Amino acid sequence: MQNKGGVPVIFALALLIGLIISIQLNTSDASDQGGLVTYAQASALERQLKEVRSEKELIMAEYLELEQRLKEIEEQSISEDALLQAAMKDLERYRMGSGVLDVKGPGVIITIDDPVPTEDNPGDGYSTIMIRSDLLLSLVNKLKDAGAEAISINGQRIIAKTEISLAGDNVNINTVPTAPPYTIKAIGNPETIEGTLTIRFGIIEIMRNNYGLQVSIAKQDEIEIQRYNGVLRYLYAKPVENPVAE
Amino acid sequence: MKMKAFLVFILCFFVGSSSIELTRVVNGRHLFVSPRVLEDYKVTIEGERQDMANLAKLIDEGKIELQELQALKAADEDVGREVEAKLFQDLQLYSLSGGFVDAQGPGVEVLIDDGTRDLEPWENPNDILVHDLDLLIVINELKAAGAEMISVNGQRIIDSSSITCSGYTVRINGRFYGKPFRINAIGDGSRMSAALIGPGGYGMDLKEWGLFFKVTILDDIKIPAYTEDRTSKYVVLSLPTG
Repeated sequence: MQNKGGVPVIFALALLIGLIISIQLNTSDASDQGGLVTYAQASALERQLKEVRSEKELIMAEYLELEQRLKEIEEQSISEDALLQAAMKDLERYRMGSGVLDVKGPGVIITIDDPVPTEDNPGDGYSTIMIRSDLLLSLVNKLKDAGAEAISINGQRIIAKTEISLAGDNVNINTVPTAPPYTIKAIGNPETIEGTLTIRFGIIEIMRNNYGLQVSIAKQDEIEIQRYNGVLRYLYAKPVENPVAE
Repeated sequence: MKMKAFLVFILCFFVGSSSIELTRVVNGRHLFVSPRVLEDYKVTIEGERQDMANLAKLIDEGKIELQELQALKAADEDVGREVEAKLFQDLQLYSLSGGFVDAQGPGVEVLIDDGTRDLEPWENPNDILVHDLDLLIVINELKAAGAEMISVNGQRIIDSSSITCSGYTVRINGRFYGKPFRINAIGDGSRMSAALIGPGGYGMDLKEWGLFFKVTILDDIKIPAYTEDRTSKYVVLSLPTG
């Protein structure tokens, strides 16, 4: 009698295990581009990204400290000569105009992400915003038109020679590969910038309605924008010799 | 009997751990994401790494400078002169990169004008006119091909330059210009012209539409300094606290 009592229990358990195994197999079978993948795979990469970002923060802090020490030495050793003091002021103005100093101020933060894939519309495996990176180009131009004084996309400062180019599968900004979600920071008059972007049939409406992108825009009292991290080196361009030294 | 109990125990263990595995994935968030997201994460990580490499290069340069200065100090030499030399070197570099002085060098001249062909009955005049986006894309392509300095109709392109269509004219750096558009760029001339008129280049697209598009490689181009007002009203330096 006791023997017979155990059989249905084992039967039920075996059924459950079979079910679970088949579910597991089903969810991990979607490795082809176009299907869906489990969140677990994404969260592993998310963790990795967080680690890399905190590592970068350490390096950034080291850099700032080094810069501070250099600045101290410079200030100590440079004489009180008026000409040199004026030159130091000029240098700061030039560096600010070149985008190699960290800045802050009021402005807006815009985030852009690809359309949410749904059962009916899983997407074709390509990122909409990356293929239409001219939308980013256009957005940046509109920001400048609205009087933005400093702009960055995913931490890449927009300077005079910044490109936004689709290279292979990546969008390169300042030759650094970037991917969605895109966070665009702009310092300037928050009202003017928001008004320019959210105008009817404007750039944000086009992004949302024509391309299904997820766009959000938020006004902020204070935004920090990092300096340009690349190397400024000119191989072809030379300054025209100025007869009058500044 | 004992054997059977053992078996049931193992089965229960399996079921339990499997359901733990399943629920851990749920965690109150999307169970599934697009595979594109994985790719995006990888690219972003790659980008951050490259950014870090750039920073490391800056740190190395700074360290060398610091060592030199400290060595001079230790030897009781005149640190001031060294600092001054560095100051003037920096002044030259950043006045160039910020567009504060005229620049010259080899590069290309790109001429873009409205098309002169007749319109097909189904076409719109806009199809053969030059638009702001055309100019933006051409400038962007030039930058991607390594352009160091760019000007459009004599207006230096700096970090805050915008190009906007407004009726019959195009506003560049807040000033109005009509067609044709002359873009000058200093850099590797053959690389820049290949990027525009090579296969798949944007210049070829414009030509196909019927617009006038011409690239000339030149040995000596002068690009003027940025002359408009650039007083900042909102942006201030965020000095490191230390």
